Amino acid sequence: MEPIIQVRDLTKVYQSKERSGLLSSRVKNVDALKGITLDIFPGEVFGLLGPNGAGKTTLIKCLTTLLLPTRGAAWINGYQLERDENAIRASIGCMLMGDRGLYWKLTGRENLDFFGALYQIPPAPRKKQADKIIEMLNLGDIVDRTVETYSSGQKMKLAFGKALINDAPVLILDEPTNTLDLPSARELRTVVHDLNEQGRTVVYTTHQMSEAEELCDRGASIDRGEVIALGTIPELKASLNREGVTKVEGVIPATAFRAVRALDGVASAALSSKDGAQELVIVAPNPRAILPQLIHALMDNGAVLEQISPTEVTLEDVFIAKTGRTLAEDTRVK
Amino acid sequence: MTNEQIANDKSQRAPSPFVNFHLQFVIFVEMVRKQLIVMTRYPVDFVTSFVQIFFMILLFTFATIMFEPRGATEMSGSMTSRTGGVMMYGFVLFMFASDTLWTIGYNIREEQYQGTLESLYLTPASKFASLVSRVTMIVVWTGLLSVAAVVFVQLFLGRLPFQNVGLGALLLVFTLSGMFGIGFAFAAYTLLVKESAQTTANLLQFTIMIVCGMFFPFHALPDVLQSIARLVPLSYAVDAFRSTLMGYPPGFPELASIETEIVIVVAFGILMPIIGYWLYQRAERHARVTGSLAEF
Repeated sequence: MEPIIQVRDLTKVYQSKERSGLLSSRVKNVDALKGITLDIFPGEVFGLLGPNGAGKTTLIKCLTTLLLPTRGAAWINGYQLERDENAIRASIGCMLMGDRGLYWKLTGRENLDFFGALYQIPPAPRKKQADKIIEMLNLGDIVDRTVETYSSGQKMKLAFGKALINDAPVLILDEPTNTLDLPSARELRTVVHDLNEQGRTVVYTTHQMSEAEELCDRGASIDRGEVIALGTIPELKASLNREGVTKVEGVIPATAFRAVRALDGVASAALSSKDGAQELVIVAPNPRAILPQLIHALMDNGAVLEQISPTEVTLEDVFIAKTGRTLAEDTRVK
Repeated sequence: MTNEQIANDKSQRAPSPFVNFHLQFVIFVEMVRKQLIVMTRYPVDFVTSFVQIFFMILLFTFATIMFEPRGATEMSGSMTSRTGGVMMYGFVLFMFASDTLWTIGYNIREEQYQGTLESLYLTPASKFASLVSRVTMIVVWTGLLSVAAVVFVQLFLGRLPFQNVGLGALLLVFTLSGMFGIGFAFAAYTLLVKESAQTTANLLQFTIMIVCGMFFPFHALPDVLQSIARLVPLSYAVDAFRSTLMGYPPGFPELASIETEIVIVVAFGILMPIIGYWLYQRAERHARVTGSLAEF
């Protein structure tokens, strides 16, 4: 099958200025994307996964023509990036800036109508498509109010609706559930799933691996501008099949963490804090065999243990195994 | 078939330039309509801009009377003096200049803040239409205000010199076109320097008012400034416009013969939008390289 999106060696280097005094500054090259190569096939939900600053949004902005790549090539719907920019824009629906990107002084319906017009859709089909979106996203009660009166969740929904106005075969959604509450996020994922069932290809970026596991057929884990894992979700998880994951909760000092990482038989370990509690994730080929040394290493270095448990492999564990870091870390290249 | 072959095949089926122009014109109309809707959502701005203009006219009218040698009494009967024409027609061009020169840039900046600039760039809509649409409603509004202003002055103080209306209108069209061009260039500058564009505009606004002699005849300027004025095409537009409407009284036009000024104004009106849009495209490319399109 011919990919609907092809990305070849896509590289983006930014030049950033580092202030080194009141008037002086130094130019520094920042490698935001380092030769990304991947294919996305028609009809799949493809997850771009990774922590904040991994390069997901930079990749999306390159593919949607907002950014010019430094090197490399990409094709979307058969159109070549940089050469057929308007054709690419016309054939994708994008939600990129969360609840920004809407005219707050226009009503929801006026926003949909205006953006529909920019895609050269005649008034009658434009209205029909807007009505369809309003019904699909349950926007009926608010759509004739100006956007400035919306809650942030309502704005997100409308921004998502805007991405559907040109009824494009490819949907590109950058962290679409970012500021949504849990029920709204679930509702939006259901709509994405339904749209995919109707045949649309969806590129979905997220830093929440549970969301990707629920929604995506395939995914690419991105870290510091590089693809570190690529495949179907079961394939990504299976890459750790011969390894096990142990989670430790409690108070874990840095010395204890370092001691665990130094243990023979530990493939990788990552420490994160969540809701005031610390969680240590250890990936090891044989977790049972290292359990005694693990407990010793923790206790000898002042750790207070609340729970130790073997767990099922998640996508986040795959990321930890590949990078030695959790998704909570901001990996933006500084 | 490879992706490249598909793309080549699709580009062969691209719409003709005429169809494309028609589609982009429809988009332009929609953009203008959106601007109009947004304007109506600020009714206070709408009313105050209307009222404010009449107060400004009164201010300039009183200033005109002050400089009128025959005094205010005679002025109120028949305002045929050069002073009145110079100030009033300069004021009309100043109103158009205020709208066109800076508004496009300010609007671009505002959309950067809102995040809507990236939204526009995600669509296949023409960037040129997008730039022009930002001031179209305001220019129409200013046109109506200018007519109202002239009528107001005539009712209140008597007749203004008002001749060669056709040529005056033509000069206004080319001047506006040139001003749009400067507006595109300023929008390009705004994309590059962002917030600092506002302070630059403040400085330039006063510089243009002086160098282009908007409210006084050019002979009032010192020699150095007169030499600078001769280097700025907008000065010739101001001089030609008001001299034409005043019926070329002795000493007018001041900077060159009317034939020469017409050539300069036409060239300004044709070349400046091309140069301005070219600069905007360069700035836009730079913003897409540096990722500053959405920076705010």
